Amino acid sequence: MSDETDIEGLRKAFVTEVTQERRARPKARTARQVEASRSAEMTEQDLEQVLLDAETFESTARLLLDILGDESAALSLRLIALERLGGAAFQPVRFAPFHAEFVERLRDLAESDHRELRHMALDRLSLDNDEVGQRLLKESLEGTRKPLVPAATAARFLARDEHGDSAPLFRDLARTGGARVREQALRALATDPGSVELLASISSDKTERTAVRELAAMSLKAASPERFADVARDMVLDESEDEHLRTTALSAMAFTPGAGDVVDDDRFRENLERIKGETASRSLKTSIDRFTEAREPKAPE
Amino acid sequence: MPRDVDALITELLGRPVGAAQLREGAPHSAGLSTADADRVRAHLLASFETSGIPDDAIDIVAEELRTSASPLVLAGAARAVRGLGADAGGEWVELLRDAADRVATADVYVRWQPGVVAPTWMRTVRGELLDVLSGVREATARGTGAGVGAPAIELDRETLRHVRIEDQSGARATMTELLAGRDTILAFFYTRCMNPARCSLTITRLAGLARSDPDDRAIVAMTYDPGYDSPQRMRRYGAERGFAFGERARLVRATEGWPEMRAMFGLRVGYGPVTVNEHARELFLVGDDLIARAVDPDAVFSASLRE
Repeated sequence: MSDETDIEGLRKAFVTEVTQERRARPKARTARQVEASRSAEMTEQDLEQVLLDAETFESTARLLLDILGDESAALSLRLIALERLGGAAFQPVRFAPFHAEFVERLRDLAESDHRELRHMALDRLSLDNDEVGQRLLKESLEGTRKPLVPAATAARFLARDEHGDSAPLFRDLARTGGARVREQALRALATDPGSVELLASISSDKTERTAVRELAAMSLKAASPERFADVARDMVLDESEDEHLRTTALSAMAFTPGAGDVVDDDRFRENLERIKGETASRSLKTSIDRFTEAREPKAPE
Repeated sequence: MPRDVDALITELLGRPVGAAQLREGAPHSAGLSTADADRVRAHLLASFETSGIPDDAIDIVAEELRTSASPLVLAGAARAVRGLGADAGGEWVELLRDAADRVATADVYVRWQPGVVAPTWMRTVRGELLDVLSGVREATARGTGAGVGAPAIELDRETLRHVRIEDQSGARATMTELLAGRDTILAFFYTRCMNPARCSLTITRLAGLARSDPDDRAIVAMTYDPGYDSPQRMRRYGAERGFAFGERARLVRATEGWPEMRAMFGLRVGYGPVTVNEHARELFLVGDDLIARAVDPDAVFSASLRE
């Protein structure tokens, strides 16, 4: 920036820009306007303009909860209300007086006749580890109730439980579920030390699809880096193995110290050099270089 | 459709409820999901509303109000305090108020199992807590010093020798070696604990203690979840909480002998399908004579702050 720069001019331009942007935004409505806007003719656009600003937060949250619970309201309005309330919940202190009612509405909507409402409600409930939402998802997957969302979606939502309480169910699904359900179940088992051998077995099974084996291997890496190292070493050294899997396995070991330490010895290095000379796969060669480089002792800083 | 857990609650409430049923790790909670374990616990606590709180369960109710992150368990504890009636003293006011504040942003309506707790209007958890709070009038003193005067545990040297541990850097030893030569503050935790008032706070406080402890004590925290808490995970967990690792300050897991360790210390921890489904805050002072005493974590940490 030169000495001749007009600082004052830049400041004015910035203020003008900010002012114009602010004017362009939809205006927050007053509480009265919000109340008045709750009519049978309320459109999606009307609702889109309802802002959860400081002055109208309480009345707007109330209105949105009413719309959400109103079975006669248009589905589109209820979906917008749900989305807006989800946003409002990001202000936890202000939203606190409405939280219990919001969760209760979501629990009801999780069993709604409307597919999209069910999906959004269960999505939200599972993010909060809600016990009712988790139970409904589990029952859907176990087949003890009519499915509320597609099985793969239910598995994805249920996998958010950080305690991994559904691991036994995921183990079954990883063995017997449909393609997409299996993938979600395999991802979910990444935090389950009890699934290490199952993951190792699927990772090593050449009759499985490559994508499934790769997912199983990546979850195994998280569950047990040491066991992953055993499986990955065999993959890398097996010339009949899928090239993509060999590459991925070696790259993963390069950046997982707990795994790299297990396999990295002179013999393994010699094998890597040999494979590098023999393979036609550029990505595998790159992966070998990456592994070797990552394992080099770091010079002291 | 009634669930298995509801049948379990009905069965448990068919007998008198006391501290034994509320002990974390009690046989009935084995294999339950965290949500189901909380649901059972909440109903057991709520049963004190009509039966009164047995003396040996007073500290348990207070500890739940002090640290539980489960809305349902807090609602159960609130109902338990209602069972104290005129005996509910001033110390409950603070516990109830703090619990109501803590649950405010995660408040939910409580769905009690019909017929097994006293019927009331359907309330939110915060509503239960505030309703009980308004009913607590008299301020009679009642001690809630968990662990005060707790019996000493004479640790078995042979068992300790067979408990193998690995610390956050991967260094291995036996429990005998870990505890040899100096007094040790031994806490229990696990990195997947979702309650910030329990494991996370314990490790943060231990980290502070390790930095300032004037005594030559070892500060050790052992995980309840040795299969999951690898050295890398413990190292990251401790570092994020300011744990200054060293020969005197370590996070460890048992690689062999965890069941024996759990039994020897009488740890209050239960397990679901994968990991811990309930646990207490547990801290022991272990002398170099291998006598362990359970102590109130709050008392230890506040004493260190005063020093």
